[in-house]
Formats: sequence, C-alpha cells, structure tokens
Amino acid sequence: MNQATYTISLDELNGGWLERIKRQFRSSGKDARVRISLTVLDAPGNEKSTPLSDRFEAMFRQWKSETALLSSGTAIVTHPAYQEIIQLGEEVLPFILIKLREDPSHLFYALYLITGENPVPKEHVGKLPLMTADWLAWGEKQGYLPS
Amino acid sequence: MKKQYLTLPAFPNSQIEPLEITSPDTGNYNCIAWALEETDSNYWAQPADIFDWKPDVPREETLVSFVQLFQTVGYEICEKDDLERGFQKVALFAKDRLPTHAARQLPGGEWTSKLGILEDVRHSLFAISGGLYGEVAVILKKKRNKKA
Repeated sequence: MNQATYTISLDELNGGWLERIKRQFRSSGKDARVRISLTVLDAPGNEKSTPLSDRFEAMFRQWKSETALLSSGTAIVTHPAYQEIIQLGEEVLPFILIKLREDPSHLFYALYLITGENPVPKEHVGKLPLMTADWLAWGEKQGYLPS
Repeated sequence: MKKQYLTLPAFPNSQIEPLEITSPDTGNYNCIAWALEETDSNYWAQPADIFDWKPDVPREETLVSFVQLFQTVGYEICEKDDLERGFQKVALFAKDRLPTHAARQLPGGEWTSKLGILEDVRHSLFAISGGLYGEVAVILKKKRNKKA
C-alpha cells in the first residue's frame, strides 16, 4: 500500500493521527520518504455534531456493503470508509468492539492501527472467529467492553 | 431444495449466466481458502497478521506469489480451463495485473467460487469474467484426489 487520502479537521490532526499513519505505511519496519500536502477544504459540515456512534455505523455499513464481494485484504482495508473509521481514533474503539461482537468482520486492522497492539497469536491469523475472540478479550481487559 | 440463483451488477455476465448459490454467506473463509478447499481461514498476501498465507511464499500481491501459493498444495500452471479427466483446476483472476479472485473447478467441469464474505456459488468462468474480478489470468491444475 503506498498511497492514501484522508479528510479530517484540523482539530483531529495530532500526534496520534500521525502515529496511525506511520503504522499503516511502515510495512517492513524500514523508514521511507513520503510526500505530505495539505489542502484546506470548505468549512466542514456538521460531522462533529453527529454522534460518533452514528458516524461509525454509517461508515461501517458503507464499508461492509462495498467490500462484500472482495477477498483482497488490501482492497478491504484501504476502502475510504474503512480509512475514515481508523481516523476516528481511540474514541471509536468501544463501537468497533461492540460491532465485532455482533457482526464479526475484518475490523481487526483498524483496531491494530488505532491501538498499536496485536493480541492475535500467529496461529489464529486469518481465522475470523478466533481473531474476534482475541480482540474481544483484549477489549474487556482494557475496559472498552463490559465483561 | 429449490435452486437459487444470483445475478450481480458487479458481474455483468451473470445476467446471461446466473450464479447458483451453494452455501449460506459467511466471513469465515474467502475465495482463496475455498479454492484451496479450506473453510476456516481467510487467505491474502496483505495485510500480514490479519490474513493467512502459506510459509515460504512471499507475501506479495502479485500473480507470481499467488501461483506459488497454489503450488504449495500441488498445483502447476497449465494452458486450458477445460475439464481434464483426473485433474482439478483453479482459475486465478486479475485486474490491472493485481490478483483479485480464485475459482476452483468442480468434477463436472463447472466452477465454484466464494464471493468475498457472501455465499459460495457454482458458475461458468464466463459468468464472473469481465466484471469486478477482471479476467482469468492463470489456470493451474493438479491431480484430483480420489475419494476414499
């Protein structure tokens, strides 16, 4: 993956956001040169007045419906709605974990990029039910999910 | 049980040759796993740590790596997609030179695919060609296992 476009507010542009970007693009642990440009768009709409849960739900539904036919991991996680979920940051973690519990899906990569953690052992990789259980256990331990 | 068929805008040819649904939908396995005859994993080259892959095969999103993936279970590249007695085949699809999908040939010569997180379907190669998955890029074959 070598290109992505993000649309965020200046308020959301912080160190945590930059760390998530670095994790996303650092595929081999090696450094790389990147080009960053900023374009000021028109004043944003009322995104921040919409509850986070509703924003996440809309993004999740769009992502799920538009990637349902895909097997490509790259295509699945680079979908614009998936990228928007990642940009919601730590605040969205409880909603992602609740959604995983109700409707397991490949939101694992979003969890990894937001948290920098990976509770999935190697032998569970690719196995949706096992990865879901690993992340839900992590979420309960971290206090994002009630036990 | 009455057969159910699917036509999808993502596969324009399915309007001519509908896809026969052969399973419930599930995200527990994807097209690559289904072509490998596995139903408990999702295979793709990237992202690593999220998707399964075979050891010693480069995790590269290239047809070469996907061919190597199937070579680990006995497949070799062949020329044609026709039914050959004693052999089963896999068709790798690609779009813009990137792998997109794998379909596996059934004993009667038709093909079976897992459509992402949706159902398995029985189909012709024509039915899912020219759409979301692009075109058949490589055909592989191996000796069909004799059932015990």
